[in-house]
Amino acid sequence: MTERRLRRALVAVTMFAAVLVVAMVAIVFYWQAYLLGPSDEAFTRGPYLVRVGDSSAELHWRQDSSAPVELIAWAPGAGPSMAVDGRFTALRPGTRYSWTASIDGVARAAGSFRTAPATLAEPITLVAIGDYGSGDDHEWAVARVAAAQDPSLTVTTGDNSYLNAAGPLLDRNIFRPLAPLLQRAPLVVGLGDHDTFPPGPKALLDAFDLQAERHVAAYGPLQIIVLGVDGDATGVAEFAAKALAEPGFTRRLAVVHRPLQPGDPLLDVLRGRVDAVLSGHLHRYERRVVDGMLTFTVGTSGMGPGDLDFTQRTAGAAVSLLDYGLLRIDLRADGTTYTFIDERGRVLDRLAVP
Amino acid sequence: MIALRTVCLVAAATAATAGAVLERPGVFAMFGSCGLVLFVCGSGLTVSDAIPCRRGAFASSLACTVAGPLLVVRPPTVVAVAAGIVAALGQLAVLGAAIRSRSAGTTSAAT
Repeated sequence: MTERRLRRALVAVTMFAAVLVVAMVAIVFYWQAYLLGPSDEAFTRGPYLVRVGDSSAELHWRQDSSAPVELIAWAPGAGPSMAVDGRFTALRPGTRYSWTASIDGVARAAGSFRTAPATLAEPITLVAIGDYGSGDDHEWAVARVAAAQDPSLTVTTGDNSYLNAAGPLLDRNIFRPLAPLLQRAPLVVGLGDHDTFPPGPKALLDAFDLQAERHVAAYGPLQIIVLGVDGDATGVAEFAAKALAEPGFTRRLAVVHRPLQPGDPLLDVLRGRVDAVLSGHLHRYERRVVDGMLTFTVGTSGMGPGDLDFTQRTAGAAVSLLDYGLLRIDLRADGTTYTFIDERGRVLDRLAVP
Repeated sequence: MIALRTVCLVAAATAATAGAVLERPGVFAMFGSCGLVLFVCGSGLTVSDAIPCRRGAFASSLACTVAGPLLVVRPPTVVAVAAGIVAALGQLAVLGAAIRSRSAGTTSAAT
C-alpha cells in the first residue's frame, strides 16, 4: 500500500515537473517571439546626410562591425540608385528621394532627401538652429519640430556642442538629438565659440567632411556663406567677398556666430548682396535690421538663456524672444518668408520679404 | 495508472485522427493540446514504469512523452499521424495486458 502511494506521489511530482517544463518553454517562447525588441542598432552614428546637390547626395555613418552597407535611393519615376562609398550620383534635380541603408539584406536605417532644384520655381525650405548642442530635452524638442518642417537643409549658427566639440560629446549633443533631421537634410555647420574651445573643432569638422570653419554651401540657386565665429576676424570680409563673386545664385544667406553690430565692416560687404545674416551666440531669437541688413539671431535651439543679465535684449531689435525654437526659411521665386517656431510648434514671429 | 494510460491513449488517438481528417492549419490547435497532454501524462507514466523497470510499458510511455513535443512543434502531417498511432498502439497494448491481468485475478505491474 505504501509502495503504491509512493509511486503515485512520484508520478504526481513528475507530472507537475512536466507542467513546469511546459510553462517554462511557453514563457521563453513568448518572450522571444513577442516581448523582445529588435537586435541592437547596427549603426553607432547615422547614417546622416553630409551634403546634397542637384544630382548627388552623400551620407556618412559609423558602425561597430565591418559588414558592408548597401545604400539605395529611389524616387517615383526614377530608377533605383546605388551609392558608392556613401555617395549617390546621377540623381534628378529637385526630386525627393527616399534612401535605405541595409546590412545583410535588412534595412537598418532609412530617410529621404531632396536634391537641389535648378530654380526657385520649386520653393526651398530650410531651418536654422543655433546654440543647440546641450543634449537636453529642449534640444530634442526643437529637433523634432525642425524635422517636422521637412527642410531641405539645416543651417546651424554655432555652438553645436557644449561645452566643447570633443569627439566623444558629438553623439550625445548632435547626432542622437538631431537624428530625424540628419536623415532628411544635411547640416550646414556654422561654428560657435564653444566649438572652438580646446580640443578644437576638428572632430566636428571631420564628422561633416569640412575643411575649415569658413566654407560655402551651395544648394541649387541658394548659396550659404558660413563665416565662422566672428564677423570682424581677419580674412572674413575677403572670404565673403570672394564667395559673393561666385555666379549662378539668386539667393544668398550668410552665417556668422556672433551677431553683427552697427558699423561692422562686414555689413558693407554683405549689404544688398545677401538676403539675410543668421547668427547665434545670444540665447535669444531676435530679428533686427542692422545698418540696412536684415539679421536673425537664433541662439534658442537647446541651451537655455541662463543668467538674464548676460542674455539681454539687443537695442533696436524688432523682435526679441527668450523662447526655445528654430527659424524656418521658405525661399520662393517671389520672396522669402522667415518664421520663428518655438519648441511646441507655435509660430512666434513671421516676416515675409518680397 | 490505468486512468493515465487511458488519457494518453485518447490523446494519441485523437491526434492521429485529427491529423488524418483536419486540414492545416486548423489541426495545429488539436496537435498542440494533445501534445501537451501526452507530454505531461507520459512523463508521469515513464517514471512509474521505470521503477521498477518494465520494458514494454516504459517504452510505450516514453513514446508518449516524445510524441507530445513532436506534436506541439507542428510537424508534417504524416509524422504527426505516425507519432499518434505509435503512442496509441503502445498504450493500447499495455492497457490490454493490464486488463487481462486484472481479469485473471493477479495484480499487473503495469497498473
